[in-house]
Amino acid sequence: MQIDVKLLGILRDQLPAVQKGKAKIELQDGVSVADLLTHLEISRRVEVAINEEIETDETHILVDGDQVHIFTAIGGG
Amino acid sequence: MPHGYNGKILHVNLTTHDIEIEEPDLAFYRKYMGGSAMGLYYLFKNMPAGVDPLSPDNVLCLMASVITGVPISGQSRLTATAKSPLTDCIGDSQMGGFVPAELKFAGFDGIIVKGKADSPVYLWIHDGEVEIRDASHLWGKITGEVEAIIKEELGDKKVEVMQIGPAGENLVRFAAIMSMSNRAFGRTGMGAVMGSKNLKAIVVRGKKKPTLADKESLMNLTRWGVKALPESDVAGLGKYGTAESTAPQQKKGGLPTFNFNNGVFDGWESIDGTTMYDTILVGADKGMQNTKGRDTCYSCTVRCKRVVEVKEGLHQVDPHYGGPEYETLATFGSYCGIDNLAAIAKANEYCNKYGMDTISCGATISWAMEAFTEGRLTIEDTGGLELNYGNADMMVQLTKMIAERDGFGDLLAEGSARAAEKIGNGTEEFLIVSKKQETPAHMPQAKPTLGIIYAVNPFGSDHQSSEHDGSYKWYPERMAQIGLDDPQSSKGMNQEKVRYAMRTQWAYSAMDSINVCQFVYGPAWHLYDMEQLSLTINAVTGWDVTVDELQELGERRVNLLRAFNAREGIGREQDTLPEKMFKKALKGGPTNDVKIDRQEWEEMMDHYYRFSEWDLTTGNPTLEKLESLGIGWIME
Repeated sequence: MQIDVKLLGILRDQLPAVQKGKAKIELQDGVSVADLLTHLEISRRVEVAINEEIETDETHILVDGDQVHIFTAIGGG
Repeated sequence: MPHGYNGKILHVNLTTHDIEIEEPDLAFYRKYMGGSAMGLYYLFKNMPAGVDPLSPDNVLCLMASVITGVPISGQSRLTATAKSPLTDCIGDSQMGGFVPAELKFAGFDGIIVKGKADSPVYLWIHDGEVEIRDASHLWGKITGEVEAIIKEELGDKKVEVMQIGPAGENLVRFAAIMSMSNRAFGRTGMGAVMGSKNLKAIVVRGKKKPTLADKESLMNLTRWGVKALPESDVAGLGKYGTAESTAPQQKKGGLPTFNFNNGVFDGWESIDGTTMYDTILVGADKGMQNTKGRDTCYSCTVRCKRVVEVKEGLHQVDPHYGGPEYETLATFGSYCGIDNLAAIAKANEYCNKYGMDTISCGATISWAMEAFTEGRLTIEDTGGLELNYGNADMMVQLTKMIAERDGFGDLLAEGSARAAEKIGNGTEEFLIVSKKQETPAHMPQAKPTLGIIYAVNPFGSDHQSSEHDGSYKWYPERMAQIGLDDPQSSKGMNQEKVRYAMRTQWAYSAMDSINVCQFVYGPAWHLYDMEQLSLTINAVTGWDVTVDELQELGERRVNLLRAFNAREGIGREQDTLPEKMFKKALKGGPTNDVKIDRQEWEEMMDHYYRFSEWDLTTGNPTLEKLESLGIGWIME
């Protein structure tokens, strides 16, 4: 299946600069949010929105065509 | 000889030109440590209740701390404290840069300014010497010009300048005190207080570095911070600035949009920190943003400050005036429905040139936009200005008009609460203020504990007076350091979250007493935790401060601030949230249909006062509470 991923803020540095945080990623069916984070080598504390809805359960199973936005979990100021 | 601090407080009376140097004892420094905790001590001693904030009777305190100016990240900050002309409550604001450290090098831990000069003056403080000098030739000039003239006339390019711009001279009620033409004591109108005293600038220079009790321990902490930064949760703030917060705010439905009617903004990507990095940050055209487009404060490794430049088009921006923070991008941007980054950067430039708080300025304009959109402000009221959401050119023009008190800008220079009172016609319905101070860009609808802190905070709504909701569950080990050991969800409210709001408020209050940057030190995502803050203080001073002592210091400062307001007759009746937050549900995104439940909020407020051991009816600290914190003397 293919997942549309967008890495926001400093997380975009996980991908080549030219991609500006955007990627289409091919994954096997049944992959979870946690698996995706591992695949992207993201070890920071992050939050995830799937199809514009916050998903706090990292065992949530992704499906083909999901739009996944990943961003850092900070307070700001 | 104390370590870390000078043991000297400078008192200047601008009416009489008297200059005195006070040398408080060790017990004073240990009890208050710096910032507004120290400033409040002098306000209670030197100012009666009920003074007009813009009269000579107001007292302006500028306080460093026992660790300001030592070689570690996040320590070069100063606090301005006086009665606020915006809120009529206590005023309190912090600024970074290099001037805080330089004040310590010049031989002083703080400055207290009383009275009013007959004509414009500036203070020249250098190596323990103090002069009151004529500033007639500086009056009316913008910050960049003043800085250049002062450096030229003193023959020293390394002097550090705190100054007001024309907005402070014009007594704009949210005028800022500026340094480097791009750092600000932004909030609560401290620039107007300085303007009311005919004090254009305070200039400092010195060579006396603070001595250290345990240099090796301090340098170990410094080196640890440099090494830890890249993998820390503040790395993004360094590279992309505070505007890195725009994306998380948007994604969680907490980006204030159209004057707090929505929590999501369609144009958010245009005002995000990564977009600024890719487009207008200096060096972006050559991929050199990291070296050219980031600025810092004295001895800080984070380098979060932005330097932007726009060379072409209607809104050209001079990099001398820095670049917008997240708050600025939101208030001039999403609050006003504007996604034009150059226009927002231009409004930021005007605020820094003229010396104004970007939060109050942008939020006051967004209030006027909603009032205009809803037909409560007419084109006659505005002097012909079309105050529609999204009108970027008008927003930039109006920002300058506010600073100059030109036309309709004169009314907005009073702040939105006073403007609504004057205009009437139901425009108060659109106010987003607590204690007459415009609300910063974090929404209580998305972060419920801020609904308590915005209301109870003694100097009006403030986003940097407590930790925001998500951190309790994300940082359990650090939270345990400050007595919080029952992690809670970021959503919803309960008694434990009220306790979280209060105890993190004490932690932030301690940081505002020690004057450390809240991106570098703190109880959650920060580079250093609260334990490391106590170790920093001990390495500098040779003391044996614990996190518990820091929490008590923070509680002491909160009680001093509240007691100041109580003396002014201000208590629980002013601990309010904007009515709109209770009455009108947000539209769109994750916070669609969300509003604050008034009954639940009031119950949580009751818990806050009980946990604080304050009088439940008045919301004021009791004598017993003040005595337990060693500040019962303020009731004498």
